[in-house]
Amino acid sequence: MSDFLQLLVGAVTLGAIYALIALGFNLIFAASRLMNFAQGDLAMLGAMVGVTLAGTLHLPFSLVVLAAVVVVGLLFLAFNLGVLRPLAKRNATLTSMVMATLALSMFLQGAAELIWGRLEQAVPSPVGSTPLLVGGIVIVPHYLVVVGTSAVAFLAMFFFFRRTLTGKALLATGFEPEAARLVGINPVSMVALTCFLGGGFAALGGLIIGPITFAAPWMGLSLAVKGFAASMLGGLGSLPGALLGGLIVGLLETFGAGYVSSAYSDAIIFLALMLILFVRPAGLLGSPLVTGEHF
Amino acid sequence: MLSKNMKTVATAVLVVLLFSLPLLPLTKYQLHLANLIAISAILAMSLDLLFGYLGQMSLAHAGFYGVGAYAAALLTTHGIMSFWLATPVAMVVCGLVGVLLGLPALRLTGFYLAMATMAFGIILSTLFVQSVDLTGGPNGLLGINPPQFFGTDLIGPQKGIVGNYYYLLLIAGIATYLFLRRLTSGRTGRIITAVRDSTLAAAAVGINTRIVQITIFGLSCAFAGLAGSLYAHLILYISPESFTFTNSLLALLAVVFGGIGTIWGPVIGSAILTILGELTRSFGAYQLLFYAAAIVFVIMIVPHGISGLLRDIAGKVSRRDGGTASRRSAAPCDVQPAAALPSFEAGKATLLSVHGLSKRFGGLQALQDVGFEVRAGEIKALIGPNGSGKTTLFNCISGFEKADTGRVDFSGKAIRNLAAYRIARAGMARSFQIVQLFTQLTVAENVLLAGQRVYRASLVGTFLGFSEATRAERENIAAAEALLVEAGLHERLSHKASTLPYGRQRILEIARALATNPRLILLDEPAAGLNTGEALQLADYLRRVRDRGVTILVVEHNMAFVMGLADSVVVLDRGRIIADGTPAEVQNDPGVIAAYLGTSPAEAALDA
Amino acid sequence: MKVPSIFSALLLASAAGFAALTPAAAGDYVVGVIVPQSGQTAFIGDSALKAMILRAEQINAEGGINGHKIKLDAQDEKCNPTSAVNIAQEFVNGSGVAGVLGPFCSADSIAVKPIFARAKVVDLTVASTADAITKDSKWTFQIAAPDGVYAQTLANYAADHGKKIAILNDTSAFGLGAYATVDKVLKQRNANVVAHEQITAGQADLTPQVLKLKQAGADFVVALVLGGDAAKLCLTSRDLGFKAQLAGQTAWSFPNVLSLSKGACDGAIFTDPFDPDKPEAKSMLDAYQKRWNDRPQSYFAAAGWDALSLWAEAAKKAGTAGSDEIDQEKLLDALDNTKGYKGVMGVGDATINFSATDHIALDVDGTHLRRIQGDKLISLGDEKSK
Repeated sequence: MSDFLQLLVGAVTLGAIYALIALGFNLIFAASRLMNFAQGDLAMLGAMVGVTLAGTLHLPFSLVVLAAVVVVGLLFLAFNLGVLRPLAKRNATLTSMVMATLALSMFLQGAAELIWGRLEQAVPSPVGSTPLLVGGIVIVPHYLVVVGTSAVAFLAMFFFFRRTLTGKALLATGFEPEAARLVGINPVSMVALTCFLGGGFAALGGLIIGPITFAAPWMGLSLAVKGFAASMLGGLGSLPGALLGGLIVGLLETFGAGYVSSAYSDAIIFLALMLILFVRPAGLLGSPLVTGEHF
Repeated sequence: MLSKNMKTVATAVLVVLLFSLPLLPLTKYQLHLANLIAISAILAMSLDLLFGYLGQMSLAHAGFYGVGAYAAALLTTHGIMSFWLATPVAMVVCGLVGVLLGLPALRLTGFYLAMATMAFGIILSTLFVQSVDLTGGPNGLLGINPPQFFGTDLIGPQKGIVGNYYYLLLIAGIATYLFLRRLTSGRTGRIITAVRDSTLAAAAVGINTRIVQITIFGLSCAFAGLAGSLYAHLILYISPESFTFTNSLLALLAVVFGGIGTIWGPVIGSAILTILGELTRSFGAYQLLFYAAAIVFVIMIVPHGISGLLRDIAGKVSRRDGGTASRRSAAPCDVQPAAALPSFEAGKATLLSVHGLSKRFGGLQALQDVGFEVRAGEIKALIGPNGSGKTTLFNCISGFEKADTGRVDFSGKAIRNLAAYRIARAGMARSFQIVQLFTQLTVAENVLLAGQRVYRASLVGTFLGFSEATRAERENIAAAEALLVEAGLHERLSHKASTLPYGRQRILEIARALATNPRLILLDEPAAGLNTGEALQLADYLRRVRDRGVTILVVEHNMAFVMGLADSVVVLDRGRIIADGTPAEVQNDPGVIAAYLGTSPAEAALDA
Repeated sequence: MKVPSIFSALLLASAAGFAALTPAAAGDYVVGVIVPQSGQTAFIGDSALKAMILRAEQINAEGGINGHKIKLDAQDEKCNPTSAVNIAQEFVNGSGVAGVLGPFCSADSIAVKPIFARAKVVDLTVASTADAITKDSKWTFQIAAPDGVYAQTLANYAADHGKKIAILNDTSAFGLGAYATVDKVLKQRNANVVAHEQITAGQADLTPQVLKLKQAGADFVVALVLGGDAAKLCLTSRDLGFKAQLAGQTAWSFPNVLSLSKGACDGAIFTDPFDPDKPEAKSMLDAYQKRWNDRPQSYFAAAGWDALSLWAEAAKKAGTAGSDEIDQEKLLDALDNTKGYKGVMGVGDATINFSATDHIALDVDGTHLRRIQGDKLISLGDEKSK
């Protein structure tokens, strides 16, 4: 039983991270119907910002969070303006744009290798490293930071989409760009906003998982793959879906390795994902109408 | 501008050039790269069949490539069979694995399908790594024997690792290319494109869309397996690193680079990517930057791939040229419409009868105990207020939705809950409320496709170009031209269907339905969005069709249109039939008037 | 008529591409290096390549070999067999080289073996540890100590010091390969292996694996993982109160094990073919520090240094002053007759000896155990033989 609870602590923490990556992915998808392959590498960049600002320069963590979100958010915004927009203007297919994000992913990895080296590096945690003992369960203090940050991010986004006009406009843009334009929403600025937010949330995810997994230039792929899985599992474009999907992927990964087989833990996640999608072709909370065009 | 002769000459020159490549002063390293390009080209072509033509994504193709490589390599290294037998066996294995994945996975679309295939690819990768006893695990499978050809080692020590293998790869590549070109053009090509453009409309003209999707998925996987076997027997060593998710992405990138849906484009894309990878290699630590920048650069220059670039250029040239090609094929035909078109005897017999049909969606009773009949040769209208269940009723009759209870008989056969394509084949065609055309096919092809089951030929015959198949195609063309003349669309034969104005699209959809040679045709709001003139033309057209004995059941809101056209009218309200009779009877029915919220039919007509 | 011109432009571009891939050598001995320069394994290649550059500069300053200067042609193998095969093809059939050092990744070294064997070109693999590297090919040498050698030292120590032994490995070629060998040796010694767990390299959270090791009651864990994961294992074990002796191989000498684990790895041991306090190693490290402003603690720099030195010794005998090509049969013969070479690698008085049937540089005597103690790695000396 205590092992079960111990695993649960790890699973929820992982799930919170995957949910954040999925949130960023869903935001970008919501406004531009784009599958962003660089999502994991944007997270990696967030962690690397942490390495430099918190590790080397010892800046306060709140400032580091702000810097990571803004820097990475602006970077992806710049990519959107410099590459994706011009492609869209030339009537490029969605697939071409997806491939451009794949190239961005490679570029970021290559750049990070040159700037920060190839080995894993420490990202300092804002809280101490002495584990808390709660009823026989070990809780690393940073785990609470992860879950807390994720919870705040999701609450903020719920509020944004339910209560603010901009949030509602953003959703409308994804469903019907033309209609959105007719009622006075500027789809271009909406896409820009989601690019900034999507990049920012990825960075946040990378920055807060850094103290647990360390930061390495090649960490992006696995984060991206699990983030996608979380997003699809929950349902593309669904906010509660991202949260649910993230938690399920976290649970599958941890309990799969803990109770089934550590050799096949990735295979277990993806087998379960396939089976769930076969039964629910639009994810658990997704709309069957929103499946993305063919890429 | 490229005349047919020039094209033939260019192709011949290219083939000769490719075959004489080993005679050129190239190093074996460069020939080795040519070998790799040939293999990745086969992989990319196989993905293009799936992605470019069927519109379905696979991010597991490197996995299938791996299955082919391991299957063939295990068969040859254990001495179970020779390379020549092992390769087709590996293709079959891959095809079967593909079909097994496709059966559940092809219910998914868009990103979800991408995700499911990606998941499958990752599972395959894990299996390659963990099945150490079978695959050698991450350290790979060693000591694969070079293929033998009449006693000669194709990768002989005298010739280094290249040897005569290049010719084998070249022949395999060209064969794959020709096979896929043939498959994606003509009758089979139309079917594949139709299934991509609209599975609904494809089913409505009698295509078993699932079989088509799964067959293409399986074929695509089989060719990925071919590439895998060829790779294993070139390198003579395989390890999981060559078959990861990243490799699937690179195959997709090759397709995008070359141009989606061309087959030859991905060949160029593979060449560019392979050479790019080698060129950037010596940049050492900076290579990923250069490689990524080069990819973005190429995508920015040619967002539609190399083939898109060439198409744009060719398009400009032919526009300057006056577009003779399209004019030629659009030349008016001498066919006499009436003679070529089939007609049916218009008896008083019942063609369609519906009894006690009910359908429930969760808490909503969409249809309740619905019953009515359609007599052969009449135009019957189905009307009712919004949300009364008309489209649901249509869908239940034509097999696009399953009714819960009740009975539907068509031409004396019980057809309730048969698959839509079976009902279509039984002689019931339909149109859709939201026009469902095959947008990437031309006007003529839309109709030709629908006629393929009438003027049929065996798939193999079609594929090999047997005379029986050619004759069937000729007859199909004649019939299609006649139908399009009847519909007044014969001046736009070679235009893409998507370029027609809205009203013409509606007519084309009906003409396409008629091409399946139906006894009964169901039209879902054919006059919606048409102006008065267009509606009158449509009514005329439908009467001509009825006069050939084709029975018509039409859902329509436009009362003036309905009352002027229909021989009888059935009224649906909140899932129940409330009236059934001649237009005059129905118009004066108090129940009907009440159902339209107190508005008189005349006012309803004015509203519409 | 634009279409044909585009075609010819494409053809020209590809032709130019082919041409650029063939650099010309003039008067120098070109030594091809197949080395990971990008991705997860690039760290391993980095210090080795720097040591090779340093060694080449030294040799060239001393007048070169037979009057020829050494020119290194380093190409990124990406730890991907297809890439490694392409490079080998280029070295053998394209550009032409006087010697080949690398690959570093085991799967890559295995993949290129048939190419060098067919072309009859000598290949000195640098950091590949798989046991299969030198099998069935007289053209391939192995500078790194193979898994079997590590496993022997490690398994012996484990069998002597652990009552309940567990093995943890990552699912990379290195991890699974090393696992197979360690497991075999432990079985031979009838050691009590109570658990075997695997991780994905770079895995986020090791809680499930550590809990299972703890459940199994293991008191000695052989962890065949790379540096970052080793640190993660130490931290997770400490947090979860799992107090087994942790043991590994050379990857535990990565600098980030110390910097990331913040003391959690204290007391962990690992086998290594490198002793930085040995005079030969010391002088190499001093020179390295002067040239690159860094002092590697792992053996890769030493392996790179020794690989090039061994090649240079043999090339002196096999080459002639007049030609920048080296007869590879003669080179092989010279290498096969290497006896008593005292390298930077290896510990104590161990020497490198090759013969026609033995192409492995180091055996068990060439490795020792090191322990992480504070911010230092100390040698356990002869403790392995207990």
